[in-house]
Amino acid sequence: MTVPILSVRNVSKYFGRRADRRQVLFDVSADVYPGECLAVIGGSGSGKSTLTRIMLGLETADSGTVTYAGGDIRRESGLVFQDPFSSLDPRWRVARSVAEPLRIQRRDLSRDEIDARAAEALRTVGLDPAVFLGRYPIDLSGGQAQRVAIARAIVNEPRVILADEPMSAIDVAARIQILDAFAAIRETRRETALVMVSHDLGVVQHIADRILVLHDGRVEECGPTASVLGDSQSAYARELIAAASL
Amino acid sequence: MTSDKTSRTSHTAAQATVRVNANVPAGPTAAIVLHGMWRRGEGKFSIIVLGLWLIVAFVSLFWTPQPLLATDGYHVWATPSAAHWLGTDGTGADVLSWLMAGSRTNLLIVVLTVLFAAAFGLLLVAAMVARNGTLAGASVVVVDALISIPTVLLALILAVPLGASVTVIVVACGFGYGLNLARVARPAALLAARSSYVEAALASGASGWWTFVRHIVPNTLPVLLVQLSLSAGTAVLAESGLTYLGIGVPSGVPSWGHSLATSVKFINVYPLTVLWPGLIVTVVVVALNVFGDVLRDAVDPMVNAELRDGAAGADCDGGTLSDPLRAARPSHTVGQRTAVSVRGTADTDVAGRRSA
Amino acid sequence: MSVEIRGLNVAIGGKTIVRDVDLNVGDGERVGLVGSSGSGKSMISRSIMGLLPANAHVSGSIRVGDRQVVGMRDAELADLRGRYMGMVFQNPAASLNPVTTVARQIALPLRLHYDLTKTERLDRVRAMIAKVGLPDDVLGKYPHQLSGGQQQRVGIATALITSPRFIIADEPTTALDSIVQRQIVDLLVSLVDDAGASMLFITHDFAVLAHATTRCYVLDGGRIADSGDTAALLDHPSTTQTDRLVSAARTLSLVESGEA
Repeated sequence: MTVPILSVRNVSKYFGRRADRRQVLFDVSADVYPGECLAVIGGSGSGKSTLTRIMLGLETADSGTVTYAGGDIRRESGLVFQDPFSSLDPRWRVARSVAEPLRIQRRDLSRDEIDARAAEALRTVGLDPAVFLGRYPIDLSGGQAQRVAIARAIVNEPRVILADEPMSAIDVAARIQILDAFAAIRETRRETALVMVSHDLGVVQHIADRILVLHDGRVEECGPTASVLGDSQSAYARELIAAASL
Repeated sequence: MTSDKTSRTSHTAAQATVRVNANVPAGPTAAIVLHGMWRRGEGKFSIIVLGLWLIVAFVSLFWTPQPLLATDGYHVWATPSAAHWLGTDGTGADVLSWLMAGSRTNLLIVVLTVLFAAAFGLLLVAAMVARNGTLAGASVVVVDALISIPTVLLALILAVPLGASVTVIVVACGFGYGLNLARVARPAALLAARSSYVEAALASGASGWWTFVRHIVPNTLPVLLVQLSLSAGTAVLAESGLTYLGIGVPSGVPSWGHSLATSVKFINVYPLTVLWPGLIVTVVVVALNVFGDVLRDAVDPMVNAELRDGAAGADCDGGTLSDPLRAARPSHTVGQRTAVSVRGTADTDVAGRRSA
Repeated sequence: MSVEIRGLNVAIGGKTIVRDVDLNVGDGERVGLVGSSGSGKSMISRSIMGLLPANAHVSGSIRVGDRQVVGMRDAELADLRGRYMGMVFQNPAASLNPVTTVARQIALPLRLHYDLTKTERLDRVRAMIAKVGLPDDVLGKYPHQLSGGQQQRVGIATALITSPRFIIADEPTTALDSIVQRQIVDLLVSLVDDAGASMLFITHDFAVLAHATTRCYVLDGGRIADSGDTAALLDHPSTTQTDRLVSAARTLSLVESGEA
């Protein structure tokens, strides 16, 4: 945990033009270290998705810098979306979807090798390749589809995985499987950094090393999971904790 | 079912290598698609009509009941007889022979027009859903402007340098239908282009063209197929119309439009000679339109459960059956039949077909 | 108003989705219906509202108050809905008409079921807006100008404007973020209790259920797998399906995390 793989410094971002122009991020700074899981927590409209999209270069900041300690971040990152069914092509088999990043980037790999890696990625997220590779998304449950999307995100062995609300569209009972899948990834790929966006502290408590709390585009709090949960400094964080309590 | 699955994914215990052919489903896709079309009454109708068309066009290359240029001066406007099954026209030429030979010309026109319209239309769709906002915006305006040019006017202009020819029909129709195709397909293409699966592909370094070919076109296919089949039918009609106007198929070249044009003036006196080409055109146009509909459902894995038979048999962990509402919900493609996923039915269907 | 379901079966396209369900909601009671997606819980709520797809086959008995809903004519059903039954939907953004102002949206059930003057309607809408905790200036706004939580408050106001005696809340908090979820549940509970109405609350989240209901049914594969006092089920889940849902809810909640 010495050199951050991703470093965001004083990032501000505006949406809209002229009269509608509003600021969604205010001077936000954050670091992501190799092998850690950083949870970005906040309600809807807090700017958490925008921040992470800026991190991966999917959107540009209006001011501030994003530094990535590596090559082309697009080739070294994996994305997981909120709704698995809209993030998988409904007319593609699971095998093809999972293998897609390899087919885009790794022209050097043989077909067999690509198939083997896709199967391996599925196994990592707890899905039996023999059962699932041939399926279409329409024949998957929400939890299964999301794990397929996660397999696609890890198949190219990325250095950073960004998961944007990966559990909020999933049944509570199936969320455990998603958590397990991420835990397995962290277990097998120890250098991979995981950035997980969520509105729910309960969801990330088991997996996050550090938590960044965003509220209305500003960083309310950032620190190790235990200290944010146990000794939160901001009123907003305490509200989040209350909301996630049974 | 079981043998099927093992042939597709064989699991060797030692290496745990799983071989999966991601693109080709188990069994020959063409057979599954054809079976899916044949299962429906209108599918049977269109396959039979279009199949007959192909056969007749092929046969006419070698044989017609009478030579095309043979005229029977004693039997003009003859009613059907043993010598002339469908009678003769005003010059005493055999109607059936001319219609058979004409099927060749019409087939050529339909195939070329559809190819032209598809290529041109897809190019326009690609421009209209481009990530480059200027290109997308400009192409929408251009398409809307061009679509106001009537096909007939364009054909008349083209006929000035080209004279009456098949090229005039193909270019004029292909151009017009391509524009139409682009406008109709744009919403579906845009939906796919803005989806997260395209974003995921782009995020892992895919080019815009990659996502267009692999994601956007397949997800627009239902609309494309229907629109192209409508275009094919309209091309048959347009051939008749343009030939009647004298700017389509040149005189002397057999086509259904030619047969119609030569006898339509005498429709009050000799209705039968007009009836035959008219009947053929009508039946073929209907068959083409239906064909697109049926083909769309048969090639779409979201509608035709047999195409995704990997899912039919094995269900693993309990309680993970897909949401019945989701399965019963019509998929997001325009004008599609409701795709009800009923695993049991798919299973017995496959089994029934194999044991039969 | 009480709802009594006996031997309900619902099949769609030949596939049985709800099997032999018995369910009671007493007068003034808040009852939960919990299950994973695909367990058929939405089908039960649609059966009660008479909003099943056209190819659905329903058998059994659903009594709302003293009226039998199964086999009821559409006109009668339409009268029952809105006037006596209100529904809060999962996705507020999708259940509100994007080209209708909040005021018109909330007033719609009043227009359909009651003969009131414009001023009377507006007065009622204003009172309702205040009850669900929205400022007066939202009345002229369109749904897209509101946040998800505000949209759902509008949805609740629309469902409650006619003071229905029975309310179905079908996953009303699933699309919202966690803080807003909590606020919406609290709001629904207090409004329903104040009105003395009864409520069927449908969710996949046992934690939400614990806040919203006193008694609940656990649905699995279209059957009632378990039922009883919500707090008791939470403490001593007896069946595997209940246990699955409860332990997931416990794992994902913060209070128990120390022991987990």
